[in-house]
Amino acid sequence: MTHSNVCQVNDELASTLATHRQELRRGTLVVACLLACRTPRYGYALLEYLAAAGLDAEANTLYPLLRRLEGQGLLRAEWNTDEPRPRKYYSLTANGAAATAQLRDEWARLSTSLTTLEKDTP
Amino acid sequence: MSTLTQRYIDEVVSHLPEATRPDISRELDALISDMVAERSTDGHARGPAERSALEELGDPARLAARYRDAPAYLIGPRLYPSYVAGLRWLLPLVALIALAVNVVVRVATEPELQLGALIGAAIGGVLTAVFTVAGVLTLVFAIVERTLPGAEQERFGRTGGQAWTVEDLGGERPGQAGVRSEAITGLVFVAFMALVPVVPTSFLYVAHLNGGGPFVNQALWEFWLPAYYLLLGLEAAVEAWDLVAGRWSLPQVLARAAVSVAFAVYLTWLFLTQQVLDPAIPTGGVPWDWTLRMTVAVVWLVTVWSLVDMGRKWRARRPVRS
Repeated sequence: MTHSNVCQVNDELASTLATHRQELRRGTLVVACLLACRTPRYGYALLEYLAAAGLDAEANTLYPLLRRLEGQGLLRAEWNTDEPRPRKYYSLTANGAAATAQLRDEWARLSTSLTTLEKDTP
Repeated sequence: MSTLTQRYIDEVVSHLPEATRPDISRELDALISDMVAERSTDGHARGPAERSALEELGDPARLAARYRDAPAYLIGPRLYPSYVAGLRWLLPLVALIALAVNVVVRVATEPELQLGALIGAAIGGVLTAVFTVAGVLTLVFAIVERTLPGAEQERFGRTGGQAWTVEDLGGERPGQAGVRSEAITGLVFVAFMALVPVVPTSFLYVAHLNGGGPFVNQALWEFWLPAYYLLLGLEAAVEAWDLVAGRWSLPQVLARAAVSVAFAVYLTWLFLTQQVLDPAIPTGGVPWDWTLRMTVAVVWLVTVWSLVDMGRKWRARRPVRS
């Protein structure tokens, strides 16, 4: 195999991997947001909090997502005008807490399944 | 709020429903302030910091689309198979109907029919019909995509809105798939052949040859042309049999082969013993004997080829004995 062929194969592999990784992470952002909003947070603080936990999210993904979760009744939003800069704080509703618990369990199940598969396969 | 940020936010919310605008504006304003503040403490000046913050948020139209959460495609994966199936089923049908209607209307209204004008009118009519139907179908699917809930979309376009079951596979072998479409092609060919004895010379722009009469010697109506239509009728019957049955059986194949051979024998006899061309058409300078022999040779070549082709297809289509 020539050098350029190797590069091409590597590029394809990298792009395939990027797609799979993105698909894997897509749903986890929702769970992460819900978990993080057990304490009320505004968007930008949430972004930093997630980044500190090792989850990099983009503002242009997170903000619309927060709004959607609010629309679904999983988060509650409140404007806090006490600070010099007014901010919209998101916190978990009762429904949101129930959904979070279920999603968290689902995640644990997936994690167990993957561990089992990893151990079983020779 | 700087004018740049203001312009950006205005652009985003202009794509969003009126009621959500003030809230989203306010939140985006706070976000951009935070982003700029963070970047400014990194040592950037305010101007470049604002620029980089806005560019990180990206195209306002895209950001607005994320807020709307509406599909950013015309027809999604759930509907796409039905859409393609619809096009494949509908467009050939529409093209055929448009072709027939245009030709019939033209034939009925034009005092002197000519090939070029007929083709022009037919192509124009067929293209208009096909594009209109494709456009309307696309529009209908795009609307369904946006109105029908996801689970019901998979059933849309299926007979009676039923979910797929194994019965939908059908029992035909893959080889039988072409039988009906071949029969339709065959019927179209028969229709063309039926026109040959009556096509006037004016249709092909050579009316000067015999004053616009048919190409074919009209004296043949005494016996040969009725026989021609009888054979065409048999050919049509064979095609209709295939069309109705949708699959080949041995009697069908034998009937088809018999009609082919009968037709070839008839044409050979006709060409070698009769004056086929209208006697009024001057044929001086044409080596007539040779032309006729070549025609007969071509007739047999085509017949033998179609028999060989029939045999090959029969091998793929005959019922499997188990």
